[in-house]
Amino acid sequence: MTQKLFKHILLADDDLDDCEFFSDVFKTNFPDVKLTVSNDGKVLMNLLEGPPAAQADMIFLDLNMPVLSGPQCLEKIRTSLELNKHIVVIFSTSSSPSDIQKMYSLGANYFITKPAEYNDLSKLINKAMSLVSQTDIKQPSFENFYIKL
Amino acid sequence: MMELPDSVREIVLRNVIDTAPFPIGVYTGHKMKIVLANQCMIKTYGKGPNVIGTNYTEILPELENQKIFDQLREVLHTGKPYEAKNARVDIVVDGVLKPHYFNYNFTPIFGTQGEVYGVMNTAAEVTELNVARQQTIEIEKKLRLAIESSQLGTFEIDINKGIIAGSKRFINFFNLEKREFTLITLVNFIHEDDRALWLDAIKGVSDSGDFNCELRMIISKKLHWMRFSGTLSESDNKENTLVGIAQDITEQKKNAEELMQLVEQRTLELKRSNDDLKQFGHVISHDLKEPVRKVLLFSNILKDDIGNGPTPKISQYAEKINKSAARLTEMIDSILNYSSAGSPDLNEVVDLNYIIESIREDLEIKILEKHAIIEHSKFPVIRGSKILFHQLFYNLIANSLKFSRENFDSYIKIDHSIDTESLKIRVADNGIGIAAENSEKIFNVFERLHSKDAYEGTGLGLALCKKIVERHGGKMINVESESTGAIFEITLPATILK
Repeated sequence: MTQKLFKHILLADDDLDDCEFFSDVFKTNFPDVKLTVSNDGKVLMNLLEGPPAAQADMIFLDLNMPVLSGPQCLEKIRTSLELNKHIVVIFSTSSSPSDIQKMYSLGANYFITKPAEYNDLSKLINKAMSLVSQTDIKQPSFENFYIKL
Repeated sequence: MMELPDSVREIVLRNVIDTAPFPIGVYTGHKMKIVLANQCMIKTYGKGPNVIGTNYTEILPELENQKIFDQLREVLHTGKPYEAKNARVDIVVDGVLKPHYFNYNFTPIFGTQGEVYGVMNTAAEVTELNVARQQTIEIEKKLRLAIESSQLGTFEIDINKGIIAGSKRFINFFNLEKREFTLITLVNFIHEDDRALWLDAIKGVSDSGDFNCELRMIISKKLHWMRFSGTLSESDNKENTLVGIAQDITEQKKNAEELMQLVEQRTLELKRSNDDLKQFGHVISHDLKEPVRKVLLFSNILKDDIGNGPTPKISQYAEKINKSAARLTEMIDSILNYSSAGSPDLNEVVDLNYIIESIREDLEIKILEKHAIIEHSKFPVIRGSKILFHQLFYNLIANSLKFSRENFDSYIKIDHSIDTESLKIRVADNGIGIAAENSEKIFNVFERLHSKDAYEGTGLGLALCKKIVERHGGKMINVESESTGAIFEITLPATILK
């Protein structure tokens, strides 16, 4: 199995604390991968739609964001011919089945609920990265969509 | 009678009399001795078979006060026949005194000298006929009462002649004078759109024999709902005649409509509270969970860090925990506010001038901080919920102060206008304003246009404002400002003015 090589990851989250944790974990675990953080959906979309068009390998996307929400961003990405190949992992406070179901049907690749433990965050990000490196752009079956520890 | 030998003639006569299907009896003398009574008469007396030779007055003592003996004696005395029609005679039959009805005759029988020898009594019992008649009268009485108390008008339509005859109440429905009028006169009262219904109903009579329709009629320029129902008459002399009743059902229709509206309104309220419940689910899974998770997250870090010796970040983490807890409290408060906005007393006397002044005091520190000026026109007294109007203006003013532009003194203007239908209130500021594409989104529960680190807030403020205005029967919109700043326009129904 060919392992996907990550060069550039995007994170869109309006919660500054969460962004900080994520960055910490990410830099510790993947020091060679570039991480770009956007604090709302509009900034993320501007970044993706360029110029210069940022070629990202993977996007971690929060749901509740001002200006453009996570679901709105995902919809834009999935309906855009240029962007629809992007891998999108939902990164949200929510663990509600209706949110998970909705994001699956909107075409997200995986779903992570933000944990309350620093170490768990590290594990979840690692798991997401390794899963994506196997499945790539392909959406997994619904049973495997929600990443648990 | 044919000439017969006397012996035969006697037997024939005797047999005829004895077996005749109506009572025949002959009485003689002052005491009216029964000299002849056929089977039928014996049965009518109801006193057993051995009555011949006894006195009429003795076997039927119950007749004493019923004038019958007097009638008999009168006939005996004068020789003039007596005839009674449908007369009530109370007789004891098998020991029970019961009313009977008879058509009876007392016919004098003359002797050879022309003297009155006796009286022949013939009778036909008409009791059953009478009972039936009395029942009919009773039924008719009840029917009249029913028709009267349910305010029904009755009518008869001669379909062949196209003529309708109505009861007094029926013609009163239409303010007509004559009891009879043409069908065309009636049809002219029917609302144009409903005339087809009438014609269909008339046509239906020939199929089913029944007639039913509900129509709108214009009577003295007023709309009435009328219900007609009827059936073809079964009387022999009423060929193709429709008999029926008519009722003014305007009130019922109005009540039904009001009920319908009430149901719709309740359904709307239910739907609203259902939507609120759904949003509440969303609130729990996202917005309330977030600060709780933060408290957990930071306290976990704190716990780990402290285990590893003193850390310079302690106060920073404690601060974050504190902030999350405060935020959680604030959200819980605003959710409680939002959900209790459902059923307050909406009939209090509200002085908006006083409310705005008291909010000015509540927000004194913020106002000083932002160098804010708040101006408002003189509001009339209105009817509504004091606490809700306080919340409404508090949120709007606090919002304006929060979203002020940096390096500009905040300016908030609240004014109003009144016309026949509404009271319009405008709240305008010179802050950062709201982009046109967000002008509806801002009213959603927990919708934040700005990241909460830039502008603190629960995301419930404007949703609550809108709900408060709607509870008072009004509308609240965000209007695009020509210059900078945000403008909210609240339109309340004029009925809110005291």
